[in-house]
Amino acid sequence: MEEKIYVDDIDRSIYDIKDVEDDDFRMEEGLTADIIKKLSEEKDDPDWMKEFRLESLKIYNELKIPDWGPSIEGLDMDHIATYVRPKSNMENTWENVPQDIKDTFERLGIPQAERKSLAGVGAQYDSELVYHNVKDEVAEQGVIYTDMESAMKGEYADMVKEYFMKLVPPSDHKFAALHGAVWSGGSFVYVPKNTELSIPLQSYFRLNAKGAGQFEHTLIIVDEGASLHFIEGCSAPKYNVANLHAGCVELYVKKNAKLRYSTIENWSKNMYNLNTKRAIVEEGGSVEWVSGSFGSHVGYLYPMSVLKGDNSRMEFTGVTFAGNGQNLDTGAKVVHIGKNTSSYMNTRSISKSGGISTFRSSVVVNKSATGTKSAVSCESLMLDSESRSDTIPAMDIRTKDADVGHEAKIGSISDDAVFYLMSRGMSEEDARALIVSGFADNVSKELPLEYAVEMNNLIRLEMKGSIG
Amino acid sequence: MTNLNINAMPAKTWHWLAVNDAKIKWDSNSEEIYADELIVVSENNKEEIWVEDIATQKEYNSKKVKIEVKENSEVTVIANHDVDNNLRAFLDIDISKNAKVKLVQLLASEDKSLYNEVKVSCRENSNFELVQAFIGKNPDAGKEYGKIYSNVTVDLNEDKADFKYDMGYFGQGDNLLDYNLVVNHFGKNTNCDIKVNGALKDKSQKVFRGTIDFKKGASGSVGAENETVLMLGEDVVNKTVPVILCSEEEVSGTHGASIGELDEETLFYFESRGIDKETAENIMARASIERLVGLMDNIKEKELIENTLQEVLGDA
Repeated sequence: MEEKIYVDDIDRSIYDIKDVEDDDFRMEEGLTADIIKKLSEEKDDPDWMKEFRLESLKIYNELKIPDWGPSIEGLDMDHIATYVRPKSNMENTWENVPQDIKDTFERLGIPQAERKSLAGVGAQYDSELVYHNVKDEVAEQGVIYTDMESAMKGEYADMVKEYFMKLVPPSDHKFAALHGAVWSGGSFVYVPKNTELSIPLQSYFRLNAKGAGQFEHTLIIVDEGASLHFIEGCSAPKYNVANLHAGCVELYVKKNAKLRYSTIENWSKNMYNLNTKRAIVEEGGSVEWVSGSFGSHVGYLYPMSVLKGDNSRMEFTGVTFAGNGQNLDTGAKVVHIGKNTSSYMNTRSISKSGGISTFRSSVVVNKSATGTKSAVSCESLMLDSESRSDTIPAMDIRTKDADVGHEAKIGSISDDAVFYLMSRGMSEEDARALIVSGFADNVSKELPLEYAVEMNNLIRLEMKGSIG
Repeated sequence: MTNLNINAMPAKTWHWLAVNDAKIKWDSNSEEIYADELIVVSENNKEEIWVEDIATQKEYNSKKVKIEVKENSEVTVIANHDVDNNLRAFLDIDISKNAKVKLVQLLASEDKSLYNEVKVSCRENSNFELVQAFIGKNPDAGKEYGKIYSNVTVDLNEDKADFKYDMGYFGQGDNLLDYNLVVNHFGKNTNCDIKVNGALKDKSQKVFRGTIDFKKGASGSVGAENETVLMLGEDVVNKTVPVILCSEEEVSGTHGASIGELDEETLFYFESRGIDKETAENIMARASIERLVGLMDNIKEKELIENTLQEVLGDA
């Protein structure tokens, strides 16, 4: 058998630069009713939210830790600070953002991307947004893009109360309950009827504080006939203690509306990423998820689409790259309720240097969902025998008038392909990186150019040093 | 009456899907347990073994049979579990180097629960072929439809061991068909090929869990799994969980599933020959099991399946 040589991954450069912690407020570690009350006071919550948080904590204490996914034994909530407020108010010009925080986002390329290709940007640093801005012409269209706290207290308060954690109730699972109890930050987006945004909005989440959690809430409502592309990015420097991300994304796609939700997740490899994302799609609407998962020590991430309206549809395109010390359990879920609905999942998983990648999915077709069409295609690439790659899809079909297909493949890089590229002058390392980039092409071709480049860079970074 | 946990998947998924395992209601206190049976087939032999149903008046029964097939032997095992009473049937087969075993199983029930458990260990260059027909029959008026459970574990322990699986099923009424198949690839260059075809009518329910597990060291191994489900009833429920677990780089694993009703092209073909939709559906349902008959070697095996099919589907 061919001998393999492994070299450590190189530094994750810009992502791993730590800022000196200089917080305005850091909540004591742990999770108690007193901490929740204190958090609620710090955030000046309305009464209903304070009660909501306490009720969520009660549910959290009642629910069990999942026994079907990767181990989260290393996560001790008694050592997680659930709220860290940076020394900055939310600004709408980068000049007013404190220099060290601004430098961090500059290194991540957020202000540059805003100038070039975005309709609006929200930037969260630890538990609060430090920057939020939307272009004038977008605001003039009536598009609301603001932070969750402002929305909850301002003129959209009723709307927030109507939709907040209705799609992902705290009883959904233990970490949804945790989110309900300690959420902070995130974005609220409302796109009015028949409004089309030609360029995307973006939120970027940076967790700098050691041993802290980030629990941002994203609530997006795309009204009838409207369309939106929303991009979400996230990263953190690596610490030797556990950090936690338990965000929640709720997407409401109304009649004939379209929403594309793209994510490049690049959390540090000490992060427990226990995120929940869900969309409900009304008649004729569509949701498209584009998801690249590269970071985190442990990840549980399965965006779910509820196709409630007739003729609604979903598409999920994802790539997961699990390297040394990572156990990433990712995939997607869809529930077909309306008639003539359709879903398509297309995913790639890559495992390397002892990384564990699991593709997990569910396709549920209710009895009411006649005329359903659903297809799932997942491919996994094993780059060595120290790693692991599992595929656990499930289908639950309750109408005969459905056409459901599923296909999956697991394999390794073809020696012939590597040999071909090497015969044309490429090094083995570059040849393998190119093949892996091509393997993940399903996601990169769905992203705006700048993000596709970032994703390919991440793959190249992960592949650096693996010669086989 | 107790609930026995059976058919557990090696890798769990979300509990709300209710597929991680199954529960069977069983009265262990009044269970008649038959003496274990050991059958040894010596080296370089060719044999046919019939594992007959237990003729008993007891409501709950269980029986264990162990078969050891020594090197270079070739054995066909036919197990007829067309049950009249609730039965737990355990079959343990050890296949030695260069030996070949073909197991044909009929699992059928009118109104009883049947739990069939098969464990097979395959040594170097051995070959195991499993042909299973699951047939839900019509119970007498007023009685509940039968429940058929099956749990098959095949360990491809040594190099070049080979497993071929062909399964056909037919569910009707309130039948429950619940299967769990786990193939563990330990040896190098091991191979498994899984084909599952079936049809569901009325309110019948089916769960198929199929796991191919490539263990570390199983380099050069290949596993393929394919299921086709024909949904013929308005109230049928089909659950399919095709799992691949992999901790070895140099392997190839694939699975596919296709679930739906008769496509329009096939229906048009039948209708153009004067065959109505219901008859066409019955023909296709029958075909999903009848294809197994072509894999059988002698008349007696073929009759076992064909007679049961005739009883259930008539001349369709």
